[in-house]
Amino acid sequence: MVFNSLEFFIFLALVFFLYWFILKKSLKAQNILILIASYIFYGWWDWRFLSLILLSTVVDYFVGIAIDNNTDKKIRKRWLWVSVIFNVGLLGFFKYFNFFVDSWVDMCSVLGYQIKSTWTLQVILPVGISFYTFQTMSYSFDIYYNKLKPTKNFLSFAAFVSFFPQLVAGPIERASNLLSQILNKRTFSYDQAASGLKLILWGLFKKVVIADSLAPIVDDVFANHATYPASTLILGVTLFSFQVYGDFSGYSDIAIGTAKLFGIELMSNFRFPNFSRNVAEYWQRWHVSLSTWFRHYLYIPMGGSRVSKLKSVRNIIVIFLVSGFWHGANWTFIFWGAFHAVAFIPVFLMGRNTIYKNSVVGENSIFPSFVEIGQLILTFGIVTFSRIFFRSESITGAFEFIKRIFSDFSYTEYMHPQGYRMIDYYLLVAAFVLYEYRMRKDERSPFNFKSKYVRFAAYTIVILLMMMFYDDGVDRSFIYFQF
Amino acid sequence: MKKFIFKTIFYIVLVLIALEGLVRVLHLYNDVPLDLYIDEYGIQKTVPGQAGFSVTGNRRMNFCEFHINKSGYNSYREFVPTKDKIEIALIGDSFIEGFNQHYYDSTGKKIENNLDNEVEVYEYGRGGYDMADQLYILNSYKETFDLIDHVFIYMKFENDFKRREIKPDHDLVNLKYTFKFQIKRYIKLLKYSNAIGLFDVVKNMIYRNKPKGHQKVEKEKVDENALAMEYIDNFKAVVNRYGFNKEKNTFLLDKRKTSPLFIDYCDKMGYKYLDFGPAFEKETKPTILIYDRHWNNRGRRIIAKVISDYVKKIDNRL
Repeated sequence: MVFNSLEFFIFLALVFFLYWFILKKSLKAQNILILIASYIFYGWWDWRFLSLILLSTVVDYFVGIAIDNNTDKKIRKRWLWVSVIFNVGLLGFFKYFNFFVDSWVDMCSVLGYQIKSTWTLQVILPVGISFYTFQTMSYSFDIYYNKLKPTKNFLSFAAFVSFFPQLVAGPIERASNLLSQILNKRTFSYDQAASGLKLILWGLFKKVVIADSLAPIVDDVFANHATYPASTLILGVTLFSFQVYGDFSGYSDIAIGTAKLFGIELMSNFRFPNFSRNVAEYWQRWHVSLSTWFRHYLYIPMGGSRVSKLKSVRNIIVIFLVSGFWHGANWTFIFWGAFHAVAFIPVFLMGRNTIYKNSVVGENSIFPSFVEIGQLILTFGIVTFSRIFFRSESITGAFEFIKRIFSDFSYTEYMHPQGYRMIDYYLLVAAFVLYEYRMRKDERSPFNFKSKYVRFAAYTIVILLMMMFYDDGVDRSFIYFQF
Repeated sequence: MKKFIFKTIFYIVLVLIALEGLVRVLHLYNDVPLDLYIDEYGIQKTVPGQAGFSVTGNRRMNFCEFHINKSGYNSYREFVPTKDKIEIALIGDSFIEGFNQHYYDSTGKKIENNLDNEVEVYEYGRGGYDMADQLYILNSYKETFDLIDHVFIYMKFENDFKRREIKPDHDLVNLKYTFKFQIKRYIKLLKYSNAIGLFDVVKNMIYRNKPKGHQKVEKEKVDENALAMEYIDNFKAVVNRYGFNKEKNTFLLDKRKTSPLFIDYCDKMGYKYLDFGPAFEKETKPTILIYDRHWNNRGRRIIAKVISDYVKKIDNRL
């Protein structure tokens, strides 16, 4: 089931009704409902893969208890490795097995040995596997680092692992945040629920109007890059930046909004990454739940920045390569990660990686300064350039794309593949950027207007735009489902 | 909780009302289909005097004014043929009806301009008309068409030869009395939502899990020649029933999309035809609209030129 479907909204209304009207007096019953609803939500796509979630749940539930029951550091570590090996093994099998086999065959062929690739498997990538495996692992890590006590309540733990709003594409939650809320009684709050609905509306807007409407243009440019001049290629990858942002942050907004309807607060996943002043700030604003995951469970245990500069640089490279690889079993993602490492390291070496941690662009003014505008353009340019790797089908395709940008400087007006007016999309993106700039200090209040009339006008315009840009011919699945 | 439910419903209603207003103000909805009627001869027509805008696409990608004349067709002029003037009639389906163009810039108007306004062009177009309808009209309004000098029957072979006779479709005409039609007439938001495919979401959800019987069965391979023969046979039946003036009537067709068997049959039997295919083939720019498959302004200009040149050639008064 996907958020931008009618099935989901019928399902959501039904679960909401049962949750707050029928089962509101029993926490246990509410958690069972969350669990059942989550399994239905996931099983709607393919019920067979529910077994993987259940397996991951069972393993980490018992691993958590086993780690806590032991005081011997070696035994605790051994149990932690059980969780890591199991979850990474699941990922490895379903997501990376074919990649490793193919890469091995390619490598042999480069060395002059011809091997037939008979080992590759016809496996479907289970939706959300990268997200829930990381979430369950974080539970075991937190217990190992004594940040959390394991729960003995299996149902609640299972509800935490499979909580449907964030099950398939995050935010990747920590048990200290989500599990503690699941274990405690929730009370209905009007403000929280209303804020949830607003976030759902805003998330749908980002998905339907920004991501889905730009998708045909981006698909066309990347599929036919060999025939387009540099101006069109730059346009295509720039619009892809907005597409992927609208798609993924839209999903996160709907997830956070949906959770709010059930009295649960999820962590923020996007904090206006397009307004980052350097690459380090970008990573504090883009896919926050994943970047903090890597920071807490990989970067810091490796020594983080408290080791020598050289080792810190090594840690940064490892983090970005792993982060790239997390996104998909393709060299394009590894290059994407490597590119970000290369862009990040100078910022780190100059000691500017945390200077913007607690501020936003135009912190004390309405407009950004000229310096800030320059920083924003530069950062957006770097990030957008890296997306050529992210979006291309193959590494050779990505380099061909880049080569063409630097070799064919001609300009021709780009025509929409379906013949629509391009000016509509340029205006749309410009208006979206300006609107997000206006709300840049609070990602959770998309309709933050004092006047209720203006608020109402904003709801209406957002819905009208959704209708005006709705295209039933577009593939409406979320990009991050493939990860 | 009550406050939340109440305010949510209240806001939904308010937003719907506001959207209805915006859809009207921005004129995002399509004014067609219009009221239909069946005349004394059993011919389905559009109720005269109606006017409005034909809208295509979510964002008014194609926006054209229409005007239904007293004869029940979309045209800027009334159809009053006389012996003294030179008149041309175009008979056909939605391509001739032309809801996707401004009614004052139709193919007919372009022909008039090409011929220095020395002719009047009458466009008898109605979406869904086929050969049976067209020949039936020519037969029913024989007195009118006797006064018209040249008649062009626009045809698409794959669509127009499926019937051997016409039966007035009262169900279609009576649609306007149905609740669904009335609702759509007055609530423009519904009309707009339907046009952009929002209701398909509901339909798709309902039919997604139905057994395969509800889904479209893949078409069986057909013998094209046998089908063409069947269509020609239907044509013969229609001609036998309603007659055909070989002197005056000319088929307007695209030979590339017409069965060679039918072309051979026309050549053999002396049916005249005007092939606009080569003129379209020469054109390098698009000749059809992006949002539907009808002719765009360039396409209509080509058609008008093909007809004008032909008429100039055969009518020595021009």
